[in-house]
Formats: sequence, structure tokens, C-alpha cells
Amino acid sequence: MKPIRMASAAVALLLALTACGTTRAAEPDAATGTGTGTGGGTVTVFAAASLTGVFTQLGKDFEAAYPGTRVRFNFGSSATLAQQIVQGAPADVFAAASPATMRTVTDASLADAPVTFARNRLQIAFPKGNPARVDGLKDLTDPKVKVALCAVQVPCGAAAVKALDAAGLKITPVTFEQDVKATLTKVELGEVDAALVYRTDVLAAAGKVQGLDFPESGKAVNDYPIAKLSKAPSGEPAGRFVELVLSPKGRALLTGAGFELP
Amino acid sequence: MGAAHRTAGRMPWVLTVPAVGGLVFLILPLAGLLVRAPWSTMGERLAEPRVLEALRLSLVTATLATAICLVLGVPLAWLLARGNLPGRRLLRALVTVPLVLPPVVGGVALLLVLGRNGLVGRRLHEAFGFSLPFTTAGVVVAEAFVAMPFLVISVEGALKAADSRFEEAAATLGASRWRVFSRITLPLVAPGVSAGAVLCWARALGEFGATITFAGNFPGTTQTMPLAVYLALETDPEAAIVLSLVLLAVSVAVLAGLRGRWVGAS
Amino acid sequence: MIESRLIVERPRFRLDIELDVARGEVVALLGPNGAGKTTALRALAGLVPLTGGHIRLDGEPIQDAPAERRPIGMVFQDYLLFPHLSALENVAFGPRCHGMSRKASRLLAREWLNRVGLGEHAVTRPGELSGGQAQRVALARALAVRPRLLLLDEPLAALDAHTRLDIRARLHHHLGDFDGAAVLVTHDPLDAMVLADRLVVVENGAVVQQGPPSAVARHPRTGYVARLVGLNLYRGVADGHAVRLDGVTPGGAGRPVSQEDGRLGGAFPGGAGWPGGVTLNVAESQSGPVFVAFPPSAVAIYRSRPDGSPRNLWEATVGGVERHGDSVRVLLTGPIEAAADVTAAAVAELDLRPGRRVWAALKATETHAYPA
Repeated sequence: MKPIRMASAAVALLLALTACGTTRAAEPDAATGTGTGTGGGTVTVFAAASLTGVFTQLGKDFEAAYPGTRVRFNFGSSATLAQQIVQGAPADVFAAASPATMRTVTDASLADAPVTFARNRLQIAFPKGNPARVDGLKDLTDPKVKVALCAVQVPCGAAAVKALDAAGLKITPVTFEQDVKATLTKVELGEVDAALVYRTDVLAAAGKVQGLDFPESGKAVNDYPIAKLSKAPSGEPAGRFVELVLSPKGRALLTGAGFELP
Repeated sequence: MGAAHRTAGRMPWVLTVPAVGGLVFLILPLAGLLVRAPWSTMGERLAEPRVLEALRLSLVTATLATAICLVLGVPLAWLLARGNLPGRRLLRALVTVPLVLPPVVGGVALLLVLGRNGLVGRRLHEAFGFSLPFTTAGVVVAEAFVAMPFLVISVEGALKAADSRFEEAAATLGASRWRVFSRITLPLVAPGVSAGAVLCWARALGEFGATITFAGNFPGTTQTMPLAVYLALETDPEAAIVLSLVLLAVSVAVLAGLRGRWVGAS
Repeated sequence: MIESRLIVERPRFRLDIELDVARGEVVALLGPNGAGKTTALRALAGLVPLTGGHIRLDGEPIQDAPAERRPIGMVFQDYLLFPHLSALENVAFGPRCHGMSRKASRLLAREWLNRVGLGEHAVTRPGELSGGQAQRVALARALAVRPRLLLLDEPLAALDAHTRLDIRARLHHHLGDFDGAAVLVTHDPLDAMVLADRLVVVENGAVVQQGPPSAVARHPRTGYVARLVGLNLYRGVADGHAVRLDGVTPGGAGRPVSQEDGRLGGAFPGGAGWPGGVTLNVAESQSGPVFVAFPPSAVAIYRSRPDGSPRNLWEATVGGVERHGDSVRVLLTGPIEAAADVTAAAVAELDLRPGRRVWAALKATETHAYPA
């Protein structure tokens, strides 16, 4: 089914349910960690798509360290995930790709104090072989160079805008993609000559695209906050997962994937 | 017994329950949209240029895509219905591929063939410096790809059901094969063609995955309504609802206007 | 004008007939269902390809030409008037296809509609025409293209009896005016008698008899034709005025009679030899293999053996009794099977019931023999 129809329907249905008022399952007391709702021993983590590789590994480590527990992930666009949490989706932990999307959740008083655990920097990605001979951000302003950017509503798109503003440059891309993966696909296939994506995405693409750092990227580094949700059904294990992310092991995995540490 | 009093046209009561259920099921999401729409800010939202832009683009591309589907699809339907090809069953199955393919996959497939580096697209680019992705033409191609099976299947059905003896009669009167097709066959299956075209248009209008994957997303050039709605959903659900309602209103108006035609010759 | 040999081979059927039609002649193809007459007509039209043979129109071969390039006009059993076009547009369709301008073709169409008496129905759609009206439009449509060969496939079959009388007369008139060759397929003997100049009887894909309608009717050569014209028919060997009937039925050398043939007008059941044989005295003096025919009305039935002159006399058993118009047709079994027409009063008087034994007498003067 087409995602747009499902999304609209899902949103509408969720909105309708909120309007009518839902009867929630018994609110667990976060402090006691008795863990109803998602069931004791299962941690549900909503995380930005760019964290897929790192968090999946951390999840396995968590399960190994705490036998009997399970970690379930929901990876996706931070903005969509934030919306879902606000609408009442049962999550324990939220790791966002930008402070703005985390704010959506904290504004709704659903998250305890978020902590920045990683930073992501933009890179210029281009197809293998660099067919357009892209050398720096300035080359992207050349009208003959086809550029793909993330849509402004998506964190990497917002970051791109900030970086370009800081550099005082104006790019007219040929497309604003709805997420980073789609943007990278266009680069991989050689449909565009360059794109502004995160360094982690370039690394994750493992050789299918090439990346180039650029000085202005420092002006638009995205902070990734993580927070345990105040209505976390699973209680204590959620907190422990957050600790794992912030631990040296977590930090090592993050740097390995191309993130910077705060 | 009540049975003696029932006339032939009345529905058995046991079917009214699922019928009403089906209706409610289909209408509920629409009701949800209407209920949660930001009616207070509707006026200013509708006036935003990008709303009209996306709408105009959607209507134009869907109509062009339908035109392409008619030009290519009707002859194809004829081939499937009447032609004596050996591999007809296989061909028919292939024609329905866009129906079962997830639209995004369809978009990727189109990129692989018609993209700048695609099998065919590469030659196009080398020869004319032109490639379909990121152009309005690309949107039309993506929409035509996903919507064509609707047209072909409708028209094939209509042709199969049509009486081919009229075509024989026309031949005995001296009509060339083209004249038989254009003056006799086509008019006789016109209701089926209209129904197919309407389905095709509606499908093209609502297409998202293949469009955004193949043609990309750029306001004014490739950002059709469904794309605008999806992106608006990221940050501004109310804008998404407004856009959805606009698309819905226009579609219903067009389809209702064709009402008499698309359920068959009345 | 038309000189053809039509061979069409199908998995379980083979048509092989020679059909020649002169200019201005109307030939009727007559035969039972499945005989191949419609196939022959469609082969002439070009709607069925020939497996072999040829079709020559004024010497020019046309068997390889597709239907749209043959100078033909066809009237179909269901008329097949184009439902989305008016009567006028239907008739104008053909001339338009042949290159006439729209204006001229519509004028011509109007003329033709007037000629068939439907001038005021020009804008009517086929769905609103009565059967008879539709038939006339179909004829006008076929004639409007000035065909050299007119083909009619059971043109009156879809009409009710009353309309048929009227339309048959009109058709006869139009065929008289038509100057090309016309071939008409029918299984109504009245159509054949009224409309055709020549009858060609087709059975099982072959021509079994042809000639002017009256000749065929008087001297049928197959059970089918005999039944059609309502005669009793037999084969035999003549020696002067006496004919010794065979145990073989008419309709082809040595073929056993079918269930159908065995009833009315046929001769002997299943090729069984006839011990003793029956000899009939006939009006004409012949020699050699002959057909013998007499109408049911020539047979008189008696309760006991009559004295007097009838030379053809035999004892029979009543096989069945059925109404036949104003009289009653009695099916007699016995030495020969025959149909006899008697009055209802006679039935009562003679108490004719199945199984009753009676005597049948036949005047020689009403029994005809002709060479086989």
C-alpha cells in the first residue's frame, strides 16, 4: 500500500483516538520498574535511521549482558518517530537525529533530561569515480552539477541549509529526498553528481559512494540527543540501555561508524 | 413468510451488514481527515502557492500519464484480447507486474533503465543531454508505469466481451482493418475504455513511491500532491491534512463528474 | 459470373462443393443443419479461408483477397446492424468505406432507405427497430455498396411467421432488381421456392441435388429434400411401369437411413434387406435405377382389403398419428414406411390407433418415378 495513504490513515486514526480519549493500560510507576505494557525485560527503542548499525549491535550486547531481556528497535525518520511518541506509541528510549525533533517530545513532557551522545557531520557524497569532479562545497553551486539534498523537514536537510547559509552559498538541487537512504540511492546510481549527507551515511554505504569533508560542515553539526521516556513501560532496563549507549563501548561503536563524540 | 413479498431487486438483509461495514471502513479515514482538519486556518493555508503548485502538477501529470496509457494501452489490450500470439498468457502476467510491484521498487527499476546511467537512459543522455529523472516528464513516466495495468486490464476485458461479429460485418462492407478498429470496435468498447481511463487517472494521481524514487521531489517540477503531503507529515500534520483534503476534493469532483460514464454506458 | 469450387477442411468435417452463379441469378443453398451451407457462404465472403479450390468472379480469382477487398455485400442472420450508429449511418457505412464523401454517402443511404420503405426511420437506432425493419436496413446496407455478389445468410430466419411473409415478398422484389449474383442460405423451403432461381442442396459438405426449385421439389433425390417438400421417397429399379424398391434409402448410394430419415418420407430402416421386396406401379415408364415419389395425400387407408383398381396395395400397421394442418398424417410401417394424409373423420371412422392393422392403397397415376 502506498506509504502516504497509510501515514495519513494512521495519523488520522491516532488523532481520532486521542480526541476520543484512550484508556491506557495501567500506567506503570517508572521508579518501581514493575514493567507492564511492553512486558518486563523488553526495551523498546525508537532511534533515528542513521543509528541503525550502531544500535543494532548495542542491542545484541545489551541482551548478552542482561540475559532474559530483549531489545526491540524502531528505526526511522526522527520527526516521524517523535510524532508517534507524542501520539502515544509505547517507547522506552528515544534517540533523535536533532535537538529539534527531541524537543517535540520534551515539550510534551514525555522525556526525562535528554543527553547528547553523538554528533554527526555532513559530508559531500558523490558516485564512485567522482564523475563531476567535485572538489568542495562551491562546486555544488555549478548549475551543471546535479545535487540531491534531504528535504528541509528532515534533520540532514536542516543541517545542509545551516551549512550552506554559513558558507554563504546557494544551491538549487534537483530533488529534496524524503530521507537519507533515498538520497544515497540517487548518488549510488549516478543519477546525481553530489549530495549532502552525513558522514555516517557515507561510511554505512560501504564503498558504494565516496565522501568528501568540507570545512563549512563544522557550522552545522547535528547533535544527537538520547532520552529515557518518562512513560517508559519497561522502567529500569530502559535506563540501563541509555547507560550502555553512553558507555565507552557505546562510544567506540559510534566513532567506528563515523559519529563524533561530544 | 416475508419471502413472498420481496421483489427481485432488494438485497438479502444478511448482506446489508457487511455492505454497511464496508462503507464505514472506507469512509472512516476520510471522516477522520474532515474532523481533524484545521478549519480555522484553512483559508490561509489554501492560499499558499505551493498548494496550488502541487495540485496543478498532480492534475497535469496524471492527465498526461493517462493519455500515454491510452495510446499504448489500448493497442496492447487488443493484442492480448484478440491477437494470436503464442506467449499471450505470459504477456498478460507481465502486464500486471506494476500492480504487484511495490511502487518504490518500480521507481528503482525505472531508474535502472531510464536513469542517467540506465540501460536506455544512458544513450538518451549521451545523444540529447537529457535524462528523465528530476523532470516533470519523469513524473509522467513513473505515473504511467504504475497506472497502465488498470487500463489494459479494463480494456482487455471489454474487448473480450465485445461481439466480434460486428467487425466481420464491417469487413464485408469494405472497411479496412484500421477503419474497423476505429469506427466499430472502439466505439463499442468505449464504456470499458472510459472506466479503465478513470481508474488509470485516479491511480496516477495518487502515486507516491515510484514518483519520488524515479523523478525525485522538487516543488513546481516534480512535487506532486502525494509527495507534498508526505513531507508535510514530517513536521506539520495539519498541513498534510489540508493537502490531503484538497486532493480528495478535486478527485471526487472529477470522478463524480464522470459518474455517468464510468459505470458503463447509461 | 461466379465460378467456384469451395473446399474447407475442419477436424471433423469437409466441405467440397462447386458453386456457379450467373449474373442476375439467385441461387439458394438448402440443407440440414451442419451441412456446410453457411460455411460455404462465409467462404465466398472471405470470412473463412479456403483450404483448397478457387473463387473466380468474372474470371478473376478472388479467393486470396480479404473480405474487405471483395466486391460483396452480406446480410447476416442476426442483421448485425451497428448498434451505435443510426439506420442511416449504418447504410452509409459501406459507401463511406469505399471512398465516398460523407455527404454523398448519406444521400445514397437515404435513397436506399426510401427504397426499402424506411425513409422516416433514418435516425432510429437499430435497437429501436422491429425485426422486419432491421432486416430491411440490413438489406439496404448490403446493397448500398453495389456489390457484384450478394450473400444472404438465413435472411428471414429471425422473423415471426407473419412478418416473414411480407419481408419475403419485398426481398423477392429487391432480388429481382439486383443485377449481380446472389447466393442465399436457407432451410425454409418456402424461401427457396419463392426467392431462388436455382436450388443447390447441400448435405454433409457435398452437393446432392441442384436445379430449379420446382424440379427439385417434384423429383427430390434425398430424404431431406423429400421431407422438406413433403413427399414419400424411395429408390428402386424400374422395368417399364413397375419398380422394384430396394432395401436401401435414397440420399446416396448405400448409406443407411438415419433416425430422422427413417420417419417421414424416408424409406426403409437401417438397410435391412427386404425379403420378397415390394414392387410399385408408377405413372412413368422407366428403366434402371430410379427414385419413386408420391405425396401423402395420394395414400388411401382401408380397414379391410379393398377390391377394385388400385394397383399398389399393401397391408400396413399404424405407427403414429399426428395433426398436419387441417388433415391428419398417419405414419404407416410395414413393407414400406410411408406417410398418409387422411381427414379427421376418417381417423375416427377407421379407428386409427398405433398398432392397428390396415390396408394402404396408392394410385399408380399419382406415383412418380424418375431416373436416379
